[in-house]
Parts: sequence; structure tokens; C-alpha cells
Amino acid sequence: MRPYILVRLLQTIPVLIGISFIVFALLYFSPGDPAVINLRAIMNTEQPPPEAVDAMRLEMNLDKPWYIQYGSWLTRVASGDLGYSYQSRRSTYEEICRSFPVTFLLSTITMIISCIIAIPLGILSGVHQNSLIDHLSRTLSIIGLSIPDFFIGILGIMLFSIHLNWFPVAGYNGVKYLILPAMALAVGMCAISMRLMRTSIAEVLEEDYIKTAVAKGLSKTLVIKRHAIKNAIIPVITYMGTQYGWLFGGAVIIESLFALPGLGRLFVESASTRDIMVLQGCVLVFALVFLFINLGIDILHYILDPRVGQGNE
Amino acid sequence: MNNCEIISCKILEVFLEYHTKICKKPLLIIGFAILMFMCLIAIFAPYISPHNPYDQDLKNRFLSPCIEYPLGTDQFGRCILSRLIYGSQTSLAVAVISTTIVVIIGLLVGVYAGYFKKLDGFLMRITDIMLAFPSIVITLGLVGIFGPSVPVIIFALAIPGWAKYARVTRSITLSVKNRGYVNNARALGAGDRYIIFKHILPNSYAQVMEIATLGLGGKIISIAGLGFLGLGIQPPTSEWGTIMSQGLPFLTKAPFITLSAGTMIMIFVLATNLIGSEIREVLDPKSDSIVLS
Repeated sequence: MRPYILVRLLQTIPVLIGISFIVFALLYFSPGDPAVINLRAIMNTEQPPPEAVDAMRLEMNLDKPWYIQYGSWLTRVASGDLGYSYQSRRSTYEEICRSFPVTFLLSTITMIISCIIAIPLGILSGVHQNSLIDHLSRTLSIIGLSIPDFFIGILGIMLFSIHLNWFPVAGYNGVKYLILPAMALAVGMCAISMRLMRTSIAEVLEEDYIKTAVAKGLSKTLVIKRHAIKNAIIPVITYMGTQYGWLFGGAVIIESLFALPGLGRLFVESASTRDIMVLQGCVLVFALVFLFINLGIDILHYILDPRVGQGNE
Repeated sequence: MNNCEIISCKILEVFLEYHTKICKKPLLIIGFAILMFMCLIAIFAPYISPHNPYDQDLKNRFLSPCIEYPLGTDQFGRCILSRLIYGSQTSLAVAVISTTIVVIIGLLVGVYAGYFKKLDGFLMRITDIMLAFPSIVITLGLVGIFGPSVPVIIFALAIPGWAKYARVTRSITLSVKNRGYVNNARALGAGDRYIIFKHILPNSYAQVMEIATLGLGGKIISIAGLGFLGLGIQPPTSEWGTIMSQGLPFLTKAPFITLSAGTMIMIFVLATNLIGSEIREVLDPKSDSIVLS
């Protein structure tokens, strides 16, 4: 058990280093002087005096070669200093802390909705292959995959907010505002996880131990409930886990559509105004969240099904 | 024979080989028909669009669909149908170019990683790093820094996408590189580059084709998403995502603006999804089509 987890943890290190290089490169190659951007926020003036800029450039090591800049950038990031926003003049760290909970809630609600819909439907269509429900779910999933999430969001607004008046159109003031965006995000995810659940349960049902259980005289529902689902659900959980990590960054368009003050909207706003410090902070957070959720999922996968570790290295 | 010809030959080969199977796949034919139709619309846009997509007619704002304007008009009185038809040009061109770049990078990285053991660790770590970012994050980040111009958008779409192709190509390369015919070619004195391009790479074309069709749909969605956020191909060039977001404030007054653009995107992506999933079923009947997309 230990070696696999250890190897997996060690594998994360080069990826972490790579991520830090990419995020640093975003800052390094961007037009605009980070020292000026920071000073504008700190001194609260549009044109910081040149002496102050020079001093700041020295302090941030901007006059040194790139590897020293990288080193000092890394130490600053490690202490939580991600620079200042060009727009709001608040620190990037503060901005991210403020918007993270919204995105976290949104992703979690999306996950819950997709689990509730995708898993039972997938099991049903896997057990009754080529039945009406199977064909229906297959058709729905292909259509669901083909509609961009923001279009689903718009359709949802038209139907549920404008016509039926069930949910608020946009903005954020409590969980109620997150249901519609979460449903829009869940459609695409449901489409894939449902198919995965179907394939997985169909495969498990072919296994010998299932046939044995049926031959022993257990009823089919009991066999599926007790034996099949336990094994079949593992790949689905793994997939949904990676999707959970993906959602933090993948919800950018939906967050902007519904005007949710989450990380995604912060990211889009920083990209449209070229607010470079906030932009790189967001990219870093998205990558880290994705990386660590994947790591957690892999370890969980290993605990649930120790066979995975054996083929690996 | 250059690479392009090899690819087209290979596609033809795959099709002939599975000809009978394909005839039993109506969905594949439907998907291809839609795709071809969309391409024709894009190519012949100036001839088939009823109006000039940039002509404003402020007297006829927010018209509902009628004979003169089949899909109505937008807030500047421009014909929506014409704007959609012209929009297909930009969306398709950008999607096809960026997918091509993605495929080429992915094939090269994958085949070199699989073939040369020394490069493997390094290239695959880079692939891992690329997979650590959701693709929209890289795309948006690049567009945010370098500004939304067409070349930037193409590259911003191409940079995050290749990792998937590299993985597939690498595993195929690993599985064929020690087969008899490859060793024979080597014994006959063939160089590495010849073996890679003539004997190894063609094995992965079919599978890469399938990911690429699915990827094409994904690119269309990303382009529309960028346009929707105002970071895509800039107005006045008509583009599906931009049309959608422009119609948003008038959702109650003139829902046709947003709905028709969304439907266009949906139909296109549906076509690529149908093709991709059906190709997979033909190539590998056991696996479930859309799961690995």
C-alpha cells in the first residue's frame, strides 16, 4: 500500500514544478511592469514616482536574470504574496479567498446533482441493455454532450427564471442562486458519467462471481445491489473526481453568465482587463486544485481497489 | 508522398475496410451530412446569405422571423441568418486550423516519446503538466495576456489540446515499435525517421482521427465560449458565441438572436459527436463510444 502512494506523491513534484514554471512564464512574458502594477495598488496613485518604481524593481529582483526572478517569485508565492490587482487595487490573495467559496459550492452542488441523476440512470441502462430506457439515455447523453454549457444555462434562464420564475436570473445571494448554474454544468457531466456507469456495470455483470451469485439463487436485484454496483462504481467515482477538479476552472463561462462572484468570473474579468497578477493567481489556483483533487482521487482509488497499484511501476 | 496524402489514403483505407459496417451506421452518415452541409454553407456564404451581415437597418430592429429576414434581426437591424452563415466561416476556420496544429504536435510528441526511450520521461512529464490545467484556463490565460486576435486564439486553443493525442500516439507506438515488420525495416537499413513516419505513425491515424473529430466539436464550443465572454474573435466579424452574448440582454424581447446561434453550435457539435462516437464503435465495437472523449 505505502509504495504506491509514495510513488504517486513523488510523481506530483515534477508536475508542481512545471506548473510553477508555466504560471511564472505567464507573468514573465506579459507586457507591463509588475513593479508598477504593485505600486499603483500600494501607493494608490495612477503614476507612481520613478524612484519608487526603481526601488520596487530592485526589491522584486526584476533587474536580475530570469532564474533569480523565478526564485524570488516562488518565495513570494509560497508566502501567499501574489501581487496586487491592477483594477481593484486589492491583493490577489484577498480576491481569491473571497471568490473561492462560491466556486467551491457551485462545483459541489454540480457534483451532487450529477451523482443523483447519472448513477441510477447508468445502472438502469446497463442492466437493461438495448431497452427503451437504454436508448433514451444514450440519445439524451449524446445531445447533452453536444450543447455547450452556457447555452443550457441560457435555456434554463428562459424556462425557469423568466417563464416559471422559480429561480433568480443572475447574481449571488445564497445557495438558491447556484441551483440553475449547477444544473447547466451538470448536464454535460451527467452525459459522460452515465455512459461510463452503463459500460462499467455491463462489464461487471459478465464476471464469474456475478454468475455464481445468480446460480446460487440470489435474486437479480440483490446481486446488482450487493455485488455488482460496488465494483462497477469505482471507475465512475474516479472519473467524477477528476471532473470535480476540472469544474473549478471549467465553470468560468457559466459563472460569468450567471454573474456569480466566483473564481471563474474573477479569472474572466482579469483576462479581459489584462489584470495580470490576478490572472496568474487564478491559473495557479485552478492548476493546484485540479492537481490535488486528482492526487486524492488516485489514492482513494487505490484504497478502494488495491489492484491499481500493481501494474504501476 | 507527403504526410497529407498519407493521411488521406489512410482515411480512405479505413473507410473501404469498414465500408460494409459504415453502411449499417445511419448516424455516421447523418453526422457526415451535417458536417458537409456546414462546410458548404461556410464556403458559399457570400452566395447564399440573404443580406450583408454587416449592413445595419435601424428601422428594422428586433424583427421576428419573416420572409425578408428568415431568423429576424438583431439590435442593429442586421439579418441574423446572414450573420450566422458568415459566423460559420470564422468558427470553422479557426477550429480546423487549431485542431490540425493540435494533431500534429500530439502525433509528433507521442511518437517521439514512444520511440526514443531517452525522450520518454521528459516528454511525458510535460504532457502531465499540460493535463494539469483545464484547457479553457490556458486558453483564456493566453488570450488575456496577448489579446484576442485570431492568431493568438488559434494558438491558445492549440496549446492545451495536444496532450491527449500524445498519450494515445505514445501507447500505440510502444505497442508496435518492436513488431516484426518494424524490426525487418530496421534490419534492411531504414533510418529512425523513415520507420517513424512510414511504419509507426500510420498505426495511430485511425484513433487520432476519432479524437480529432470529437476535438473539433470541442474547439467549436471553446471558440463560442471565448466569443461569449467577449474574448473571442472581435466584432464586427460575426461569430456564433458573440452573437449569443449580444442577444442576451434582449432575451425576452428577441429570443431568436441567442437561440438560433446556440442551435447552430449545438447542431455542429452534435454532428462531430455522432461521427466520433460511431467511428469508435466501428474501430472497437466493445468500448463505449463517448466515454473516453
